[in-house]
Amino acid sequence: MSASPSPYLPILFAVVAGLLVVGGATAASFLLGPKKPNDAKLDVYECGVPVVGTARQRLSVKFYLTAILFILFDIETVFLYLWASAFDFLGWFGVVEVGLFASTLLLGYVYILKRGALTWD
Amino acid sequence: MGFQEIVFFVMGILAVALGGCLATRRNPVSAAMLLISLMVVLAGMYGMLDAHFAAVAQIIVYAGAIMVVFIFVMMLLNLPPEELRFGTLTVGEIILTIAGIGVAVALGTKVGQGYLVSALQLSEARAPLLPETENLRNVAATMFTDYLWSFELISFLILAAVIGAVVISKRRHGHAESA
Amino acid sequence: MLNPMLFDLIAMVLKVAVALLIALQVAPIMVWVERRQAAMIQRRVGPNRVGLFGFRMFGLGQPLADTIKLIFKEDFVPKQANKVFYVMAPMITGLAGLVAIVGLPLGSYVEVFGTRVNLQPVELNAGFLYLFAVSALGVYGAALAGWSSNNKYALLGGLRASAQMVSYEIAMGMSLLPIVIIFGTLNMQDIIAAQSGHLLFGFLPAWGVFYAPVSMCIFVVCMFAETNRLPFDLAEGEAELVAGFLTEYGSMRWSLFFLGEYAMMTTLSGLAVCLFFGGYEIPWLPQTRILELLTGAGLGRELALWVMFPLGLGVLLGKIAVFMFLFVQARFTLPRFRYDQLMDLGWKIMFPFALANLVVSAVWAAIAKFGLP
Repeated sequence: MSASPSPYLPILFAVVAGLLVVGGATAASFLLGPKKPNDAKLDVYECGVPVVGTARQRLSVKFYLTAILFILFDIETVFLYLWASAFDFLGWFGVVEVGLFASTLLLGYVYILKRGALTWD
Repeated sequence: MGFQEIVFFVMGILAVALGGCLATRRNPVSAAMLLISLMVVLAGMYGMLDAHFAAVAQIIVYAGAIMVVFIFVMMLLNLPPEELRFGTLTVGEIILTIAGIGVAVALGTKVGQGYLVSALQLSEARAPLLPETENLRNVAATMFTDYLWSFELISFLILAAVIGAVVISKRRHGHAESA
Repeated sequence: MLNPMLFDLIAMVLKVAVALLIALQVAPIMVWVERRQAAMIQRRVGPNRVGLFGFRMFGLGQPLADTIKLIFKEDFVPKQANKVFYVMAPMITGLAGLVAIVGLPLGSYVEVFGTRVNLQPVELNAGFLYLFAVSALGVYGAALAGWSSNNKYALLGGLRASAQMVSYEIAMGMSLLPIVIIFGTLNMQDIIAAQSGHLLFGFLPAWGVFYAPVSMCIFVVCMFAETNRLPFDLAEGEAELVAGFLTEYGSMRWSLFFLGEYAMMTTLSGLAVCLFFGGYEIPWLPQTRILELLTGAGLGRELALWVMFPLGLGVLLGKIAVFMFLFVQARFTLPRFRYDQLMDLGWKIMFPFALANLVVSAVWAAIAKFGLP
């Protein structure tokens, strides 16, 4: 570990300070607001009409697909950032290498497009 | 002990505590949120060990993408708490838990680590390729020169994952339920 | 003379405090700006009554009154909601916005007792990737809000908002790669320094936008989508899914979401300003030149640097204000995107554009830096 103060310390301080602000706002509202609970206020809101069904229903698988594709392209982006930070050192060799990497992923992207996995209906 | 070391040990204890908590949650979303906090604490520990790329990549990819999939899946399945019951503890589960704790303890001691190093024939750490530059540039320089093949293999792994994800979720030839 | 560790600690606390204060002031000011600017666009007056001590001040007392009202409103938790996550979700969004803004450089540096203090509260080895990491974590606020409300419309809204934020994060990340390639570093202070000091074609400031204009366009569009602002605010817009994931939220919790949203808007605008528009540097007057002028006028180096700090901060905030103006203009000018149009835009247009832009920039930069292969 390095001897100079860690660069992550301000992040910790910012998180603590942010928690104080955000927690303080919530607490202030909790303490200073009136408390008059009644059933109508605390019920599920569906534009004022009685609720139909519960919230526990199955939803579309498209969200899952979007999230999985996000992971994969996010990993690609992180590797691309790595390459870009050492662009000068890696020269044309790096450009070709990463071009190969990106074209394999481009194949995957074209496959997704053709299969219609990104079409929301 | 220096201030940095104290913080590091506190983070380690916090990480283990978070792990223990999340393994005993009844509600899967609570477990997922604890896992996210665990990832953030781990990223902090990587940062304190000067592995800055690993720290940022951990948050961006693991806590920011993979856990999003976990959360989405839990929210999509939307199982009411009554369906998520604990079964009775079987003998096999108890044996596996004890074995898991044993492995963790073994790896946490010098003996276990020494065994691992010799078993995997890991060489010692080399000097960074670009002295006097930052961690990201060094990781990039090493990865794209020495570990080139592994890097290109990653692209094929990702391609396989893409194809697998699409195949799994589009079983009915493009007919999906709407939402 | 001070113990160096104590000195670092005090410097860190002050820098983070300044950054957080900026974030906390942005939300009330933006509330006022939004309503007055909307009124101007819609040819009416907007709030101009609330003032202090008889002075109307163009209605600037309105955000103050709003904040006081929101604190004193009833703080409820719906009976079907998951209490822990219901309370946690707005705190996550608010926290993400506040923690992100400390990654912006507020100025170049000041010297106190001979020690140089970099005016960027959080300066990581990974540079501006810190901001991406924090906005990746901000997605959970929307998802959890929707899920914990136990209201099927809120859940749907929350999932849609998260899916939208996540889809545009890829294009956003990829659009900034050319900047890293061109300037050769992830460190924001270095990028800002590289944008001042010389001129392009003899008269243009060497801003990132002139090196990578397509990147800027893609990034600005993704900025709108990341912060759930119109034209991409389907998840929180009225008349769609009630109020999306905000349906079951009221009073202070609701305003915490907006604190987080405005803070994230400020942070992303700040990132765009630092990478594309020269950050805290005045266009044709680099800080080195100002330092020369001030020390030439007999001010002394340390004092000159302390004078330049608010100058730089003011310039940064002014440029961010232009972006915020753009945000509000877009909100009251453009119609809302339908959700499938939104996702199509993110995956089928923004991502390929960003990738193509990266390829062209990489090849061009390689030719410029290494010559033809």
